[in-house]
Amino acid sequence: MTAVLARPPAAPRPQATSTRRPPLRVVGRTRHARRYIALMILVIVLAVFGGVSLNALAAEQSFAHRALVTEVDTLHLRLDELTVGVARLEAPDRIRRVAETRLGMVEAQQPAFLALEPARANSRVASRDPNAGG
Amino acid sequence: MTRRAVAGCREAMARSSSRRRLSLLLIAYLAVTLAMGWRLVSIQVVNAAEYRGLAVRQSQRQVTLPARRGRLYDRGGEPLAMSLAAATIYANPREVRRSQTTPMAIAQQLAPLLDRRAKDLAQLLAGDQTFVYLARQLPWRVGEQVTALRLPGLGVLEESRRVYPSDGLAAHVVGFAGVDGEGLAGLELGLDQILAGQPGALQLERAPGGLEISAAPRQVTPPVPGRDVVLTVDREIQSMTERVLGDAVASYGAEGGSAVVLDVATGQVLAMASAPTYDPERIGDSPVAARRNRVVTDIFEPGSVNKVITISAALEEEVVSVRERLRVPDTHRVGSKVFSDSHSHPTQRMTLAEIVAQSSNIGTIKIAQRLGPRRLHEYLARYGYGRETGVGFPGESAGLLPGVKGWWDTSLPTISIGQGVSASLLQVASVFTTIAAGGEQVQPSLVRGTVRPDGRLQAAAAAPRRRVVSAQTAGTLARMLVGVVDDEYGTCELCAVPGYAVGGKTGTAQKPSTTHRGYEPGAYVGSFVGFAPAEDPAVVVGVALDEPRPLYYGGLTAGPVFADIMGFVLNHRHVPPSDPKARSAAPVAGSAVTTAGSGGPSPLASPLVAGPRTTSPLPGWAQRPALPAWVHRPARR
Repeated sequence: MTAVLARPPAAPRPQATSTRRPPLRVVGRTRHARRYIALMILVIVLAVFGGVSLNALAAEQSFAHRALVTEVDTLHLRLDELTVGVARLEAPDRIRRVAETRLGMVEAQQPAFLALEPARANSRVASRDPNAGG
Repeated sequence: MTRRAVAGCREAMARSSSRRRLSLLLIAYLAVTLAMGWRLVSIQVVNAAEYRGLAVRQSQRQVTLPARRGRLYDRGGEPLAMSLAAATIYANPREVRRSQTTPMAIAQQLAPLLDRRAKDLAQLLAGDQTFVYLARQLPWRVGEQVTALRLPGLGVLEESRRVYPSDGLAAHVVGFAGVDGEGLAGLELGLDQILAGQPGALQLERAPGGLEISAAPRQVTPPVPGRDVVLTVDREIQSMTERVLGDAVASYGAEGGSAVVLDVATGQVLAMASAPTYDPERIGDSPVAARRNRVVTDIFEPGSVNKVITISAALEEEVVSVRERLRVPDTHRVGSKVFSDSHSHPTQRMTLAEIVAQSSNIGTIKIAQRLGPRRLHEYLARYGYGRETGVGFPGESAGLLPGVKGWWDTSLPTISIGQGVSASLLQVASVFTTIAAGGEQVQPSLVRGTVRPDGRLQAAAAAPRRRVVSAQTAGTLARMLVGVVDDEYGTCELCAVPGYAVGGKTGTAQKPSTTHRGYEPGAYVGSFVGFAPAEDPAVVVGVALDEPRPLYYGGLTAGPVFADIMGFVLNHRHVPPSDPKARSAAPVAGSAVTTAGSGGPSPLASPLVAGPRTTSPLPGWAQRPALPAWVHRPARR
């Protein structure tokens, strides 16, 4: 046999009052959701726009960089060509040829050396004998 | 009952058949799954590397980025070899065929730019290949002009073109590089590892059509440019040496000639010339023989030049003294062979200095006999015969020095006067550098250093030095060698350089026959190797002319070439002339040669033989005004 537990006595019901409840209504979430969605769309749009802009900027800089690299290469090329040109113009054989044929110059046969004597504050010039041949 | 049994049986059979089909289907499914699984494992695991490679090959393209080849400079920083961007024009004949332009029309537009016949170009364009070169290594401007034409099926590639801007100066030393930029001869070949650098790579993604995906990430391994190398060659001296040598070869109708200029203190090669020469930018126009650097690759029997080794060995081993007078007849028999001097003379009593000055074969042979084969061979080897000098030039010849065991009874006298042994002109010049440097041999070198990325010179390691003979022996011999030029009976009066004391030795050697045993009749190599100023040697110059005609004596043919080169080098390097008040007129006769500079007494300062010192100045050393380097000639009318 099981014992039947006695139910506790029910609490007394509150008595109806004459004061009216304030007019409450359930606030819908629609307005917040719209704002939130608008904000998100704005953020996304801005992010996409920013991303695209940055990419475009990067692409533009990349083109500028490539153009600069090409310009540097071209200038290097030009510098090399000029270096070769200068070296060809300065070639000893060419200078000699031009000096002899165009300018009518001849090679010196008797270079001279100046021997300074500081103690005496005078100088002595020694040169080759022009009759000694060469 | 029967009907019910039959129905039951049918039902059982149907159930059994359905199960079997299901089983079969399951088995087939499992088989397919296993096959697919195995295939997946095979692709993803077992053959993963192979498929990865295939994918890379299909979607990626690797472009080799060529490295800039290093430059070659002379010792003053003037470029001797450098690379320029060049245009290579190619065509895709199939694409040309698909276009509406005829090959001949394209060829006619290209011909003047490429300097080729339109007919030849049209033939190439009408072929069935997908790639054909039309012209390689043209100036870059031509490539730009071809691009501007916008011709179908044509393309321009950038390549590197090697140029030698000094009009082919030092062509034999510098060598040349091939169209693909690899060194083929000379130092271009010898220094290829330094000059070549390391090519880089550019990894590109490409679409199935082969087009590059520009937005895809690129992987770039930048090329490492080759290093620039500074040579020891002096452009001015090299030019003068080449010109004088070329003139001599032409005027004597010689087969060829070679000349080398060495700095005594450092062993550096200031000039190295061979004749005939060639233009490294037009290799095809020159015969192979003209491209040899005769100074290091050709060997010859040095003749009397070699006597300096015999004499220095005798002095070092003290088998003869400078005061001794040897009995020298004009002929001398050794074994079955009779040796003779270059001219007949009565039996004389000659000092060592006179034997050197007059280049007596018999006197030298008698000294060599006192020395013996073993010691002569030892000194030849010590001076560097029979092995490469270490100058670092590809194809350098070591010369021929037979071992003592292989010597015959006539080998000692033959070798002592410079026949029966072969050496390159650089080896012979190195012998004289050793004597001029006081008995210490410095390894000759052609590379002064490399250019660091910051533009500074990184000097090459100092050339190794080793003592060959004592300073006293070298000094004594050097004073004797002055007599070859200054002595009344010296063999090279024409080797004198006005204002300077010059020491050296002539050589007139027979050429071995290429067809039979013995020597070629009438074929000689005339040579002179010497140094100056004798009192403090700065430079060694060696000259050899191959079969000069009609004169063939070294003193008459190579001697004047030596004098011209030496005179120029001394002036160019601002070496002051020998002091006229101190310089002896006849050093062999027992006078002194003293230093002209302020570098202190040299080994040559002490008198060779004690005796009265004559201090006669050089004739004509009066006070004269200085002359400019170039004297203007009055204009002709």
